[in-house]
Amino acid sequence: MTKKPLSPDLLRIDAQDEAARIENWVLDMVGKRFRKKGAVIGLSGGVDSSVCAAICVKALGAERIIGIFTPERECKEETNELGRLIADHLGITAIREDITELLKASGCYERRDDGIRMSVPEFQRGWGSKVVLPNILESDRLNISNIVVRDLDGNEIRQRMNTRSYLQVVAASNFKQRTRKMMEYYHADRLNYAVIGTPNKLEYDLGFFVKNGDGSADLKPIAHLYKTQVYQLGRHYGLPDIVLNRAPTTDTYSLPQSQEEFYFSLPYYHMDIALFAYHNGYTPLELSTYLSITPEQAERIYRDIESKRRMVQYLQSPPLILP
Amino acid sequence: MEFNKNVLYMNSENEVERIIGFIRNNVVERKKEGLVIGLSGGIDSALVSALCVRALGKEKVFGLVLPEKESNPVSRDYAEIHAKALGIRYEVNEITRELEAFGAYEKRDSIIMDLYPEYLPDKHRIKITLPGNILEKDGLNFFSLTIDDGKKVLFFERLKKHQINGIFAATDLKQRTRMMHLYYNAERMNRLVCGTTNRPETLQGYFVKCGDGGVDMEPIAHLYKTQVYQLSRHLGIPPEIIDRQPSPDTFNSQVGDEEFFFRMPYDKVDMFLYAWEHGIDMEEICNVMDLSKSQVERVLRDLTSKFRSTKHLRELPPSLLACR
Repeated sequence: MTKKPLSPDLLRIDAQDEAARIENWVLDMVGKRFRKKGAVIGLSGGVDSSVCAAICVKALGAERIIGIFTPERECKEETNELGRLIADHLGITAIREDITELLKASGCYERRDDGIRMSVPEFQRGWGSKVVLPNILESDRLNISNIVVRDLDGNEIRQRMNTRSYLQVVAASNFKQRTRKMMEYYHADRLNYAVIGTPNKLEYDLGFFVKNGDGSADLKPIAHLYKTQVYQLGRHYGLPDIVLNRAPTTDTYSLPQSQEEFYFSLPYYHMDIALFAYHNGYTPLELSTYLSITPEQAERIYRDIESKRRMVQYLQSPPLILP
Repeated sequence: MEFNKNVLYMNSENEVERIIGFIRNNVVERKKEGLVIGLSGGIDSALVSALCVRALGKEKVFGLVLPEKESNPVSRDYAEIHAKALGIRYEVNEITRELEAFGAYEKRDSIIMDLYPEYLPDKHRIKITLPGNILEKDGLNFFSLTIDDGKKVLFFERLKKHQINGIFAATDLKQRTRMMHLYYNAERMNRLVCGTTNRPETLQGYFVKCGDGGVDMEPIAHLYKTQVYQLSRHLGIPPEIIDRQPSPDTFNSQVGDEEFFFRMPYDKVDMFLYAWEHGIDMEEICNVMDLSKSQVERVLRDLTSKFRSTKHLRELPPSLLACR
């Protein structure tokens, strides 16, 4: 059988059918397999968590869903507003838990700042910061990340990070995702609800999540969907335009940061095609033609996918045990 | 299939070698620079840390002691004594402030105060227990709350489902907060987090998801508690740690694993689990353990139900990926 040429059409799903299939599955998992009374979802204001919430509302009923916002002092205000908007739109109960004090107590901010100072010694508390990975199209050197800091006058410094500095900054920042998950489990355990994980296929397959943080959940209803398919479902559920039109962000660092900068190197709709091409036996040449990049760049993307998938085995596997 | 009192006995040296190989392989395969392990002052973490040091050398093992205001003070002492004896680097990181910031104590105490308004969190002690020895009496696994003032019991009552859910939701934050610190240290040093869950705990779901169950490897998850004792003596773990009563160390009134979860002593739990896993027939279990058929049936029912109800804790979260 000849392969069809790469195109976004290959990822198109029948949103109606797929939504129904997932809804049935969620009902089955939550009700029968886990015997839970409802579901808890962390709402980030992004399309993934919003679609998951919409699925659960359809599957279980709005009265059995709790949405949780977990703002902290470095979150964009917009994120909270969007989370609230979605909760209202879907008619679900929303609980707001500001996790700033928890993050202060665990040393998240302080330890992160110490990590930044390993690269930028003049860095001061209150300055903005973010980690930026090199763009895979421009370079193969995956290990060299940059830190961008901005002082109170708006002056930016961009500095290459050494390994220890990078590891410390990421390790400390991960308190955020883990604290959020802890909060979700607190409410789920208290109510005898299940925790819904919201990674899409790009994130799930390529390990763009934190172990025991956003990577943990009782079930993951959209882990098999490419990001463009998640948007398709979002339109099917009639989610507000402002959610559907928003650029994906990590919302982990105080300076605005897109997912491309931090992990994927490509906009999500291209990353979708790249991952689809990788999984379905398209050559780097075919990918390069579609994306209008050089074959070398396409090869680099494949190598990057492969190395990320090796990492994923570590992130996804339950603890190893001896027979 | 053989079934007798010695069935859990192993060749210690061989088993130590096997576990050491397992630890080493995982660290090397995952290209990590060592291990981080939480030291509770109990026998399991003492044994695992000793095995890790044997496997990798003391420089590559980092211990983390994570007490909070309700931990038994002895736990921290033992953990430190053991870490010093092993010669590993370790840190003591109190987690009380975080638990307070979360409201973990307050949320739990408010449920308790609904039950017993005279409860004074600073003066009284609490514990949660299951009904007594399952060999002596039947009864489902209902949890009860005991409040005492250090001398006498002030309150004892069976908890309703939503009350116990609320209490555990709050107390599980202790294990989950510890997990966060273990991973913070592992990730900043490019190391793995090593767990300390043993076989009965694993099979019966006696761990917290994303808490003590959320680790990278479990070097003693295949060992019955009896075997944990055997290897600990073999490796010269300090006797005061070996002889301590195993406890979750989660409540300020001391409660053992037996009262809290297993409803029988560990040596019996081990034998029953072994028999259950290996399909030993009823008659033989009764003979070897010198128990009646109804006693054995009751225990096996309990093991099976705990195994089933905690199955999802041992598995990857379901997704639709498999049915693409």
